[in-house]
Amino acid sequence: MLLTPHEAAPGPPPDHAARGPLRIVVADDAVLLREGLVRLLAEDGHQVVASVGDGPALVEAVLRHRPDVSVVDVRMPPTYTDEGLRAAITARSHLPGAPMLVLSQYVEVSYASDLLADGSGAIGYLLKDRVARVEEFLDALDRVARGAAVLDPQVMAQLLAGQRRDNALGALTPRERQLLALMAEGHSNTAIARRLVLSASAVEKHIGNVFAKLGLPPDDAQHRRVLAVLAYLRA
Amino acid sequence: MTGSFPAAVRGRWQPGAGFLFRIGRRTLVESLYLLTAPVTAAAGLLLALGGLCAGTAGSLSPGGSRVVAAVLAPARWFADLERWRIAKVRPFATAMEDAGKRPRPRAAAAASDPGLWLDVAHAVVVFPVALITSVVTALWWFVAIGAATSALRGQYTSAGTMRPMTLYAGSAQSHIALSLGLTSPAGRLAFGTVAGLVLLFTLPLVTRACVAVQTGLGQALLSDASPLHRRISGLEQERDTARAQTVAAVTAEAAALRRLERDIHDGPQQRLVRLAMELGRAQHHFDSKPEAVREALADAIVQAQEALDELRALSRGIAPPILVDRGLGEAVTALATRSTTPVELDAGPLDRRLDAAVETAAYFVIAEALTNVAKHSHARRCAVGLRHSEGTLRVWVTDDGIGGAALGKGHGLQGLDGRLHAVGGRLGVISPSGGPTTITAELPCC
Repeated sequence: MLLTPHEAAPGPPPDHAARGPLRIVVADDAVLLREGLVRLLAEDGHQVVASVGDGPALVEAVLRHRPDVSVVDVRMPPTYTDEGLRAAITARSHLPGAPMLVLSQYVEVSYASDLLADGSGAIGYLLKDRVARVEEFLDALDRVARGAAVLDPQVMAQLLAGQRRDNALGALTPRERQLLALMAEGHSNTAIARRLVLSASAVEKHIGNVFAKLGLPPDDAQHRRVLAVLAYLRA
Repeated sequence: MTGSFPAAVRGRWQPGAGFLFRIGRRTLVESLYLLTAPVTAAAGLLLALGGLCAGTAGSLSPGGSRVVAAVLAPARWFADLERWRIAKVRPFATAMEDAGKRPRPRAAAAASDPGLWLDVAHAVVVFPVALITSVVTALWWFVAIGAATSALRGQYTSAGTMRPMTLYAGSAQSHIALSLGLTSPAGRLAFGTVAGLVLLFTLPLVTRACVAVQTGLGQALLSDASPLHRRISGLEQERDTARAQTVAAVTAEAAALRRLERDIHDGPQQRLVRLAMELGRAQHHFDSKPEAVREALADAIVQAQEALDELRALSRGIAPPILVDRGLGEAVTALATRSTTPVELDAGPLDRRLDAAVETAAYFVIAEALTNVAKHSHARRCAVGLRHSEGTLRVWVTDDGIGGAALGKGHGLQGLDGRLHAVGGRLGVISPSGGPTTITAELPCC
């Protein structure tokens, strides 16, 4: 699929075959991990169109190749701080909605919030270790490429560990909060139903309640999911 | 003071003579001090006033404080001279000796230094005082000697009656006249001699009083007055040093921790992620691609091994095991053995284990210096030295390389400097272009 701003914009999930080969840009300054990633992706039939080692190179590669998804390490030269994160955001400002799966040795809620700030989804933010669960990693990559927001369970854990503040989220029932957390991890309604052992219609009803309680307009589902997660992060 | 020959001789024969001699000598010294005071005071006043005028103009310019301090510096010379003079004339006023060494803010004293302004104030105030005390002293000497020697000078040899001697006080219009009589030459001679002797014997008291006034003024303005004041400034200095040391320690520690975090992130953590990735890969292909599984497992073993090696190197960087277990001497020997450039080790005996912080700092100075020798110096050989004496540990590393090392130049020397500051030590770098290079470190340790 060719990523144009229009297509990347939140809308009905792009119609492409599940687990189809993806065109991927890999950005990581550690050659060790980059090579491992490239091999892992290639073995699964994906095509790594570029592998780069710093932020500016990532922006350039994304603009040139318009990949289905980019896998980005947060910490890269020259600052070795959140260079990758900022490069991903810059790339998305040039190419709105370009899918980015950001990997990091540690996760921070504020980083997740920064990534999702433009509300267009197609963002993944995972601990680097998740790569070891190859199936799940490839699955997450696929979901991000299709426009979902996939946040690491640790982001959720951090949020849940924090003090529950008096806000819109306070109105959610525990069940609804659980559901929202799963949505934040980028799971589809079917997957959520399977996990929580609920019927698909019950899940839809709960999700409808979440959207209503967060005051999200009856827009397209994908966009609302992202906004709901964003609201969750900013709570 | 009484060590001079005549005093000793007299002192032996007549117990009172030594005392008289001491009094006389002291009076002479004090008189000299008092009579020369107007000259130095006038010079001091001129310098201070000139400095003040120039300083007022200078204070309007940027960096005024330094300008003021600079132009007032000559006024401080006078203050120093006066301190020296006071120490001479009042050797027991030990406060002045200390005050002479009063710690001043380095070289370019700031205008905010209160000592500077006290010195200037002294220069202004002391002049009139010096003028009065010197005139009193001079008159007392003159009249005393003149009167006491009137007989010798044969002033009243002419016989006959004279007009009564009258003392006047006041102006021409209104005055008090006191007639003393003394119409005979003999009476007048006796009176003059007696009065002269009285004046002469009271002279020591007068000079003592004048000196007391003048040096009192000096002590009040030129010294840090009270011992309490001096104690406070001493404590303040100690506190500032301790504070700077703490800041250096905290900074060095923060920098070290940050470096450690980076090292862990770039090293073992990456290896472990890759290890996990390979294991995941092996699992992923377990049923379908046995050769991919074998490859992944082989890679995983390599990554595990490398991660262990990196962790070992890191722990050596934090607290080298040999230093912890065996102490500085052995650890430095190990460093010397490991060095790629041949090392001549000259380690003095260490009778006991030193403070852990000192040991670690000294160890890393040598380790970093040896790393630099190997990396940058192109040296053929180097020498490492280590001495512990009188509460100071001195270490040095000299090489015959190309030189050109500097604190600001990276090479890790900056980090070492911080590390040393943290334990109150100092780093010395002598490295002219072309070599040789000597890195020294002095660390206080008891």
